[in-house]
Amino acid sequence: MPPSNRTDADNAAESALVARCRQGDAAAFEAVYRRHAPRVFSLACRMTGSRADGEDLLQEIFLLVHRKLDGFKGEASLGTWIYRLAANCCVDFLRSRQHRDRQATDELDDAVTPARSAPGLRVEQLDLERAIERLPPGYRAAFVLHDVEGFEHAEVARLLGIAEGTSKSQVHKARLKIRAMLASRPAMGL
Amino acid sequence: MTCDLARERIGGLVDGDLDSAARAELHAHLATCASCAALAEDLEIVRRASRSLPTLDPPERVWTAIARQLPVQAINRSASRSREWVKVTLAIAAVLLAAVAITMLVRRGRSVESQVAESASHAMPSPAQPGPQPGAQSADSADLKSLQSELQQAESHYENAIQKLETLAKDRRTLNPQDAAILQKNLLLIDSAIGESRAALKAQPANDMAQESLFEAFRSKIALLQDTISLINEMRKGNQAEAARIADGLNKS
Repeated sequence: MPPSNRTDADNAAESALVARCRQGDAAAFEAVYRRHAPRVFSLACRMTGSRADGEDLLQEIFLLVHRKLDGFKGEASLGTWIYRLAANCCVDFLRSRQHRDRQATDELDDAVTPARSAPGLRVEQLDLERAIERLPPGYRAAFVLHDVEGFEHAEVARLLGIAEGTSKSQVHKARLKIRAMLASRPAMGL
Repeated sequence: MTCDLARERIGGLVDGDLDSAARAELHAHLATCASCAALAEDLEIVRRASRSLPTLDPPERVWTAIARQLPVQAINRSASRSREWVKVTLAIAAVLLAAVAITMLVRRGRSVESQVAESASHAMPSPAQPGPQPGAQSADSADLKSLQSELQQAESHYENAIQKLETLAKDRRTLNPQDAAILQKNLLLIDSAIGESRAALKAQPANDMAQESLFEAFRSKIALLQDTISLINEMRKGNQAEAARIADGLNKS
């Protein structure tokens, strides 16, 4: 995860906000949502490969945050705490869908081959987002957590319940697939 | 190094996981193999581009949906308020304890005082010395002042407790108009009794009945305010049966 440069004032303001949330202050909880929702939403959309699922998960995650806020000890920042809760929710969501998607994953595994059609890969943000959406769910989860969100492989492995070596392998394969998709944009419909 | 082995290690190179020997060996291969070099370069581009993807703004409808599902919050707020009320009530209880203790001291002092006065009147009924000694008069005056001071202290403790309870009992929006009207009527009656007792005590500071009447009015007001707070609490919790029981008690008081 990216490092945070937090000051004592930030910590004090956050503690005050959490205290207000615990007292049932709806405005304080909305402030927490406004501050942290974009990052959680980005994670949820990219992990699931769907904005609709991202919206459902965002809602579910913040209702969970609201319910669990009494258990927030302040050992990590509120943002980190929410983010880890969000990552776990996303992983649970993917697990619940895993059996349904396994067939599609296998088909996609065989369909994509690493290739480069022109020298120098050009990456447009929108194409990259679409390529990530088209990754098989297992690869996508490891790739998003590692390459997009900046988790270490050990943390990705722990979150996804896989071996660290598997995380490295899945991230590498995801990069290869994205490269192939970006290199052959028209063929992939990007 | 073969291209297959190089491709296996490129992931580690992009992640920065390779030790220096493996990295040097791979770089040597990349320097001579354009295909593997292009792969390494592209994967690095993908990693960097992915890391710098912007965050996405959720649509407003998500917050609207969340906000709609937060009625639980009201319950938490109510529970939290109840906890606060318990703290305040405990503080008020401590103040009342002090008031009662002072009242008892005042009564005991008064009782000893009257016993002394009574025995003195029986022991020395001398017509030759109709009035009290100058020293005794001075002591009586000091006793009276001390008694008045203790009375004021007890009164101030009661008033302090009442003020705190009144603050808590002020928010009667949850009460039905009938209960609120009965409460208001009872409070006015008690306030009137307090006013009358105060006036009597001012005229006769050593009047036992006036003093007891004032303290009794204070205690009644405290009991009524405590019942009011309990009633508000039960209404907020939605405990209709308990609220009805308390309201019934208020009607009878």
